Amino acid sequence: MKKILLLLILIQLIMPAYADEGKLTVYTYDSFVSDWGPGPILEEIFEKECNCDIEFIGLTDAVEILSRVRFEGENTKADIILGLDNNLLYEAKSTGLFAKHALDLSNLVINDRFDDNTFVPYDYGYFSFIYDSSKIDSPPKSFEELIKSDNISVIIQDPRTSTPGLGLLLWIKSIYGDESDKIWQGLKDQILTVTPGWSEAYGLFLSGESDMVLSYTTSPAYHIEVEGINKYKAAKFIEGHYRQIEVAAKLLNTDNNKLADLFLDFLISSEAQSVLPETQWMYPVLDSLELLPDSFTKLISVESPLIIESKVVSKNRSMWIREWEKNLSQ
Amino acid sequence: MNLRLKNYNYILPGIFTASIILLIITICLYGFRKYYNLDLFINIIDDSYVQRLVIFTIFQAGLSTIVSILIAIPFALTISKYLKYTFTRAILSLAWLAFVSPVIIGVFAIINIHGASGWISNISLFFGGERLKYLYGLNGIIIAHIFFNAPFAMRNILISLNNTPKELLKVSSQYNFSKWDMFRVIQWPAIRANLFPTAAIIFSLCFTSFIVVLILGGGPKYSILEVAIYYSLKIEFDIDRAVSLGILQIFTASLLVLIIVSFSKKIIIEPYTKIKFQIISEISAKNILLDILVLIIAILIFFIPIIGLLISAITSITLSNILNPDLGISLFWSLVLGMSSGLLSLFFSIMLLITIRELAIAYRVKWVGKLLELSGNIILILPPVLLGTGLFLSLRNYFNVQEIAPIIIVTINCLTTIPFVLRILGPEYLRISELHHKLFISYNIYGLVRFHKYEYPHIKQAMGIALAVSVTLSIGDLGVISLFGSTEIKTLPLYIYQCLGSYRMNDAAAGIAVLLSITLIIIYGIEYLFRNIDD
Repeated sequence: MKKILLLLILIQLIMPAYADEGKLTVYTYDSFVSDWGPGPILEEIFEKECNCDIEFIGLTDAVEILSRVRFEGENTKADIILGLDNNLLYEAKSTGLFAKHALDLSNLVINDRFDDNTFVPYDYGYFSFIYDSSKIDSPPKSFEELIKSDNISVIIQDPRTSTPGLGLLLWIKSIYGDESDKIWQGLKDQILTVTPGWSEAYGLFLSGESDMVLSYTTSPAYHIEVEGINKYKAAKFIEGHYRQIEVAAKLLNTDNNKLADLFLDFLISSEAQSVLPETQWMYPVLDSLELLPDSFTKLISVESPLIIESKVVSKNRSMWIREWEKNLSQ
Repeated sequence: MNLRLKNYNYILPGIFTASIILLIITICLYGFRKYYNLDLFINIIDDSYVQRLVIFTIFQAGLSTIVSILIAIPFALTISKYLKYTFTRAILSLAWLAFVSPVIIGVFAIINIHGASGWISNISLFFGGERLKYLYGLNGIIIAHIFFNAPFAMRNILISLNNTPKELLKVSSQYNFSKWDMFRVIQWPAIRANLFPTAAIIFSLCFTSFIVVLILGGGPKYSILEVAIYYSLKIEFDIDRAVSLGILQIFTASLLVLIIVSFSKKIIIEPYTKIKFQIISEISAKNILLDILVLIIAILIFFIPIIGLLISAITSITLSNILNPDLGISLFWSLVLGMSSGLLSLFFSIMLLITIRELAIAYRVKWVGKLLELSGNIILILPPVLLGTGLFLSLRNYFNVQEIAPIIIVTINCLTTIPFVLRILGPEYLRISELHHKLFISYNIYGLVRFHKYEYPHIKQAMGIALAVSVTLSIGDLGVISLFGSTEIKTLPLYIYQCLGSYRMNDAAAGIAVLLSITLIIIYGIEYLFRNIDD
């Protein structure tokens, strides 16, 4: 059986691509299309509805998706890109490669920042520090408290290579502005290490390397739902949590305009949205409690979401990253 | 008898191979043709931030190389005395595991031992000490680089020690040489020729060691050029800057590599001596204790981390983690792609070596041979992140990159492993050919017959090792596959990363266990198939 499967895969590889008619190509990141990601389920549902073929191409991460379509320019094979986050939007938009959509986003939880009608948000989450509650009784409740807890070690991600890494930088910036330096300098000695991506950081944290790791408020839901482990918790900061919104968009040069619109519409339908919480471990953008599994009700709530406009991020990123390097290098 | 009889057929294979390699590299560089910018390059050299980066990049790579070599020499000298024991040889094969494993696995293995929650830290806690955090920072970078590269140096030194002429060893025992004299007069000249090129390879590997520096460096204080290239290319999308930084990296690395290689000296071999390394007879009780101590330290440094990781991976997985069909598919692709590029790499390396040998012996023009060898090694100094992107940029207008992904992956992995095959196989092959050259000429033995009947039996073992290393290195690749892999093609390292990226630590552990096991099986399997029967 397996041999036949492998043979089929081989044949598919050798065969020239069949006509692009009715085939939607979606660039996304690896974990979206992995066995446990939403990709395979969404593909099955959508292909039944549209009577078409959808091909997900999994790239390393969000950064790689934008970089790939930029390199390919107008010749890109992609009809849809899926997986950019709010901090990359200004850059993405200024490439002029993306088309406006005709969707009504007014029923979504987060529609305030998306009035330009290019990007369709499909899920979101909040950055936070995750800790093991069997080891830490009273976690810090703010950055000020965190930098005073010298015995708490943290692992973070590098803003030069990862979106959560940039997320932390912006989180601190959005609260402290020009005073961010003092938080970073206070945090410096508690940072065990800075990893290139989220995966390494989270893996090291789970193996017990550090007391805390930068991740999402929704991360504990995975451990509750899949592993039945309740000890991992997100530390709630009174200053608020930075919001990450993941979006999809249609390419201007797509040959499958209708199909692409259909897919974007599908992405914010309750059918697709109900798949996301337990595959992406992020919040759906449709505001309906029915979509959420039990584990999500046990998470901390975020009353004051923080966000910096992507134009501001884009203009200042280089400078802020230099500052960050300086603060952690002294 | 004309000893310098020229056979032009021997010249073609190497020229052909070198042309292919250079063509592929040109294709990569061509992708960036619009982005070369001299003014920017000058600006960048002038930037004090970049200068600091360059200095640290050189510093950490240089220090890592020196320490790796200094550690490898005493280990190799000690191990060489006990090569006849199966146990020692088994351990030596294990040493490859650290060298060929994907960097992320090696890093996890090191953290498992040296990390804040690692074995050593736990021992300290057990005895009432503190949690140890010495790993993150410059220490971690150097520890990891020793862990990855010293085994490679050790194996190459051992191969060179095989070249120690028997007569010299006799003389040394007659004159009652001290250990130091032994080393200075006999062993150092033997290992010197191969040592510096080996050091050059280690240096180039450390020079671009992105993941190690980022994860173990502890923060942006320790950063290297490769990180800056990545940032410019992927985050800022400032391709001009990335290319300029890349050129700076290529210049600096090649200059230093050339300096390192210039220290090597051709070893003088007595013709017609049937050379075989002799076990030095007088192993006194005092020596044995010291030797055992050295061997134990070697085992602790190189084998415990990776075996520890294998054990902790195996203990954390369940049957369902192992039976995941995706894991099977990844294993299949890893084997197919790894075997193809490994065999191809061995083939191309031999083609290069045949011509290098012919140029050196029959034509006495060594510099052309040196150029050929250089072409085989040039891939090591190209910044990996630019290599992949450049290739992508060049090819995407002519091909559907996703469809020819397997070909690209095999080709690039083949190219990246050629330098290692050349290092492992080269000295052995050139020595054998030189020894028997007159014989071949006088009996008119050439071509495949010469290779198969007369050269192959002598280099069989080295070939086995070279093949094992190139196959397993390709299996462990993550860089190329993550750029060109598609939904259908998935290899074990990619699978492991996908699991890690989806919270699936146990599935990642299963991937790690399978990858390490298959690597071990391939190393032992190939070495067994290529063993010398008379051993």
